[in-house]
Amino acid sequence: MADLTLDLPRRTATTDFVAFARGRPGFLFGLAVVALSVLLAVFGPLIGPYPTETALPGQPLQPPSWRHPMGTDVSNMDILSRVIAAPRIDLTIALVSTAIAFVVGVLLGVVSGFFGGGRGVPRLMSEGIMRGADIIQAFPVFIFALALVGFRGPGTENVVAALAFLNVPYFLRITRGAVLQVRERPFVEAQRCAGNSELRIAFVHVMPNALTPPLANLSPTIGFSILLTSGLSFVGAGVPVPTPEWGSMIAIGASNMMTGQWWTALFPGLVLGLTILGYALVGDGLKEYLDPVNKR
Amino acid sequence: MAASTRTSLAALTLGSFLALGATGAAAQAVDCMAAPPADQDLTLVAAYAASPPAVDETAFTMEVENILANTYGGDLVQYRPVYWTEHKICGAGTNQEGEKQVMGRWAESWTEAPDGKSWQFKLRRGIKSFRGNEMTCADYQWTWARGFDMKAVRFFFSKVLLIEKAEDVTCPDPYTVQFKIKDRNPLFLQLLAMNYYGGPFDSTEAKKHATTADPWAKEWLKTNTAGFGPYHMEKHVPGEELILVRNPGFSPRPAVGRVIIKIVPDSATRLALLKRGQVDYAMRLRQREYNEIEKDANLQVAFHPANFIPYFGPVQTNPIMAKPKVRQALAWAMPYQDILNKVYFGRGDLIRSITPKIYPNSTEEFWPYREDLAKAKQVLAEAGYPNGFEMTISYDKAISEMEEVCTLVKSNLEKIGIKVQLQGLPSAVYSDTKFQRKQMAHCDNFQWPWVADTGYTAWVYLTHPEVNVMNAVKNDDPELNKLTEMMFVTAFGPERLKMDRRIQQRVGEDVPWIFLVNPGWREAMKKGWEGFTWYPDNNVHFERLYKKGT
Repeated sequence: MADLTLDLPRRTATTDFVAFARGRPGFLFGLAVVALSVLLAVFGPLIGPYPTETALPGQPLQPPSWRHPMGTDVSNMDILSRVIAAPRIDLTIALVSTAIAFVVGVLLGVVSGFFGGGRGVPRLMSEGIMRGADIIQAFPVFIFALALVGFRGPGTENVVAALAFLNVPYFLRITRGAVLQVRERPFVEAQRCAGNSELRIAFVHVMPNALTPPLANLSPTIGFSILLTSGLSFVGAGVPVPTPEWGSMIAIGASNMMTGQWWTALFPGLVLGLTILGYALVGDGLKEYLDPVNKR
Repeated sequence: MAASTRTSLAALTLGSFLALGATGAAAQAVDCMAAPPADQDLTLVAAYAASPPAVDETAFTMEVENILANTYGGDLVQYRPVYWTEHKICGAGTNQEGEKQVMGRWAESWTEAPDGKSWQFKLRRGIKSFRGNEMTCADYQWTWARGFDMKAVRFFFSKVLLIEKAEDVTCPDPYTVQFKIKDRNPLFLQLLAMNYYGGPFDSTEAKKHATTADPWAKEWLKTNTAGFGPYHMEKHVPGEELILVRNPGFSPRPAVGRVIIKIVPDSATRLALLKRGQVDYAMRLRQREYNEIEKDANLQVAFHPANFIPYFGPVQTNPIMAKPKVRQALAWAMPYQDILNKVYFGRGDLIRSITPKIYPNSTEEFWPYREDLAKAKQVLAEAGYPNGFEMTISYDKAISEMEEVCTLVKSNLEKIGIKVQLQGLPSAVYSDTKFQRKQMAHCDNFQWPWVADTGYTAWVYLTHPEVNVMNAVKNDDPELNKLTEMMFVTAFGPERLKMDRRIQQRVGEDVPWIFLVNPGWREAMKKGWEGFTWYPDNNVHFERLYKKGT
């Protein structure tokens, strides 16, 4: 009998991912934006042609030129240098707040979802968590963020705290929904038969299987957090000036649009819009990539 | 009683003498007191940045002052407007010494007792409120009694006027108001000329709204006006609109019969409304917006050198800021020219004295500070901070020019090793923390001394911190305290001039404030409006406006 061998290409996670990305230009564009924003967050303040918080000599509000490709602002700071330095603060706030919200939201989501159908204290705890989330989500996000920052005062740490607090219910609900499905699968019952405790089943066996939806939502949440950070700074409740931050740059520049200095708000606005679009496209792509149905 | 003629011509400075000469010559051509055309009945639409939180002396914003000036009209006397030829505009003659600055408003004449401890004012007959009640001395008595009870701005004025209690305001007859004061006060008339807060009230009308619990109608007068001034507030929707209508009893009859004030918080939007012709007047714009208006053939900017003192204030409740050497170092580090060029586009003047340049006796000779970072670093090291320190600078976020000033200041201070955190605060929070002296330092432009006198200016802003809430930097210099007290009771003359100059010198030595740039009084209107008159309150007085050639 002849030896039958099939010469199939080797499949790895990387080749799968590359193959997936290759056919999706939107996703590729998003990935490029995310990669660039991360690079700028690390190196941005170092590679700008001018200092980012120091007024340059000479007249302010210079239009775009070879010396200042994005022009200068009211204090004669170079807009390009500030635009590329801004991800350091915007992305840091978005990443840290989203990471906190993800960890807390997922843990609470597992507790709430896994113990939701039970009785006694676990059920009460689950209900308590969900009603707490209802209360937080009953307020418009931006207004609530504004109130939180207003209560604690403007500043980077307070913006991180406010955004993390507001994003927790989002991850909580997504995780809870996934846990409610996973906990009904036969392998969970098998774990019980094997003598595992409920807590162990919840966090060791159910949680890893319920992580796909919250993971897929990380990227859009980061984008949303960047937008919210910029919004808070735009209304003066976020990062203090003259720290390079897109929202506050738009706020400073917006009032100059009427007097003809369009570049002061346009470039930070454009970059902010592109960044949020990039993170949203990556989120969409990841959702598709991580979905087992699509993989099949 | 002899008519008061205590003004010392010898005390006139050369600058004021020259200005007098110029204004005197031009005054023949332009009569700044001429009544507006009697045949005009105009409506003026204005865009303000904010609603006045109240129309009584319980709130202190530019809008409050503006509405009070236009509805109550001020006190017994007023600053005498003179024509400033170089700016082609009428303005209070603050460059003149002493009582020459003032003329009657409600009072047709006045006399000072020979010992200087009593003043009598004869009221004009027939001054009517919007409700048709005639002004009598009883209105003044009620107004002052209310002021003493309110313990706000009128009470503050009683302190500088040297009126000790409400009973010291008496009525020898219905048309004579008499004040008994503690001591001779050379500033008595100038102080009265700028007393825009807290009436005088039409007491007949106000009493109708008083209750047992509120005998001074404080609640009603927060949202309603009862004055004898040129306008009456007909409507007030906070955050939206405010309507003023002409007081039919006011003389001379204002040409503007109705003022519709729209509340537009964003200055760029106010500019847009003005450019589109939807409003006649936009309040509180930024210099670059005024520059834009000057380019527009349909618009105009009225300019007058004013009494603004934008300053950097190191608050001495902070132990670092309490050190004079540190304040001197900061003064050497300020980017004066950059602020003038970048924030005010070269318009305005660098300030080099506590006394505004347009006020008598102002001199720059005692303010040595220029931008010199090497010197700043050296003085900072002498103060014990060779490596700098951490500092928070607060400012009112609603005033974008102050944010720009703070940004430039931060740039320079960081060059001498001071690590600066800027703190933009909402107006109410800023004002609250400023007057409670909770800030470390601030960039501020909400100061303009109403009375053209160095003693008054220093007294209000830089002395007696235990009683002067406006002394937001908590400066407490015994010599300065003493000098200002003495100036209140010293007649104009060489002795007073000496004190005046010593105050300016002392401020230069001790640096309680670091003076920045005075942009001047700038008001943006449609072309065709005339009759702008600058007063030290820096308000547009609508009753003086009219339209050319209609």
